[in-house]
Amino acid sequence: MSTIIAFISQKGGVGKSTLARALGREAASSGLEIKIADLDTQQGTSVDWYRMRLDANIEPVVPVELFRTAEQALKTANHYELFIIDGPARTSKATLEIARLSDLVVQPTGPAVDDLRPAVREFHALINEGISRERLVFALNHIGTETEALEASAYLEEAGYLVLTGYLPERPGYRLAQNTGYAITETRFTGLNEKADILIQAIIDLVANG
Amino acid sequence: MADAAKLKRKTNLGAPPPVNEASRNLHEPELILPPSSYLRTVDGRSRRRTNRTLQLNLRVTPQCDALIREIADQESLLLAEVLERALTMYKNKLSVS
Repeated sequence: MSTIIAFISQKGGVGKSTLARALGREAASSGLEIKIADLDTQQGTSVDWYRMRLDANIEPVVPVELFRTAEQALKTANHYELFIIDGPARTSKATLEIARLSDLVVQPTGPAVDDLRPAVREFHALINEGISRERLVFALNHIGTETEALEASAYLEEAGYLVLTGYLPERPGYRLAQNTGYAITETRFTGLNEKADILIQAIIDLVANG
Repeated sequence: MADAAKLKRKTNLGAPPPVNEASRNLHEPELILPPSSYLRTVDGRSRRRTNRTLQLNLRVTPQCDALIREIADQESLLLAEVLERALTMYKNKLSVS
C-alpha cells in the first residue's frame, strides 16, 4: 500500500511544488519508488523542473507526472511506495478527495496574517468535512526572522493545528537551485540545505510515527 | 492567586479565525471550464448559422485586390467564387503537368 502525502493551498507561490520536489528527491535518494503528481495542468511547474533535472543529468531521478484531475492521479497511487501530490493553486472538491485518501496533508504558508488566516480557513473546512486533525499540518515558508517563525507557529497552533518543525527562510539560494533542476535540499549552501532537510525530515517523521 | 496570563506569548498577528469561518472552497468544482465550453452567444446570426461556409481573412497587395475585384465584376461572380475558380484551375494545371 502506498503512502500518500499531499501539498495543498488556495494560494500560489506558498511552496507546494518546492516541498513536493524536496520530499520526492529525499525519498528517491533513499531508494523509495516514488512519483510526484503535478495537478496544475495550467502551469506544470514540477513537470518543467523534472525536465530540467533530466536535461542536467541530476541524480537521483525524481519522476513527475502531470494529471488533469485528482481522481486520475489517485488511481495510480498504489503503484508507488510514496505518492506525492503537488496540488494546484486553488482548493476545490478535489482537495477533499485528496485529503480523504492522503496519509498527510501539508499546507505551506507564509508568515503574514494575509497568508495565515486564509490557510487556517482551508484546514477548518477540511475538519468540518471529517478529516482528522492529526493528518493536517502546516509548513512555514518565506520566513524572514526566527521571531516571525515563532509568531506564525504560535498563531497556527492556537488555531488548533500541527506545525512542522523547522521552516524555510526567504533566500535566493533556494530559487537558484530550483531554477536549474535541483531541490531545496541540494543548494550550494550547506546552511540552506540543512534547514530544508529539517523540514522534510519532519514530514517523514510525522507520517512514519503517525 | 497568581496571574500567569502575563506569561502568555503575545503576537502581533491577532487571533486565528474560528472554525465557523471555514473556507467554502471545498464545494467548488475541481476544473474551471473555459467560458467557451458553457457560454454560447445566441443571436440572429448564430441561429441561422449552417457552417456551410466560414470566414477567411487575407491580407493581399493592392494590385491583387484590384485584379480579383476586376475579374469578379467582369464575370458577375463573388470574390470567393473567383478564388474558388482560380484554385480549381490551379489544381488542374498541377495535375496536368
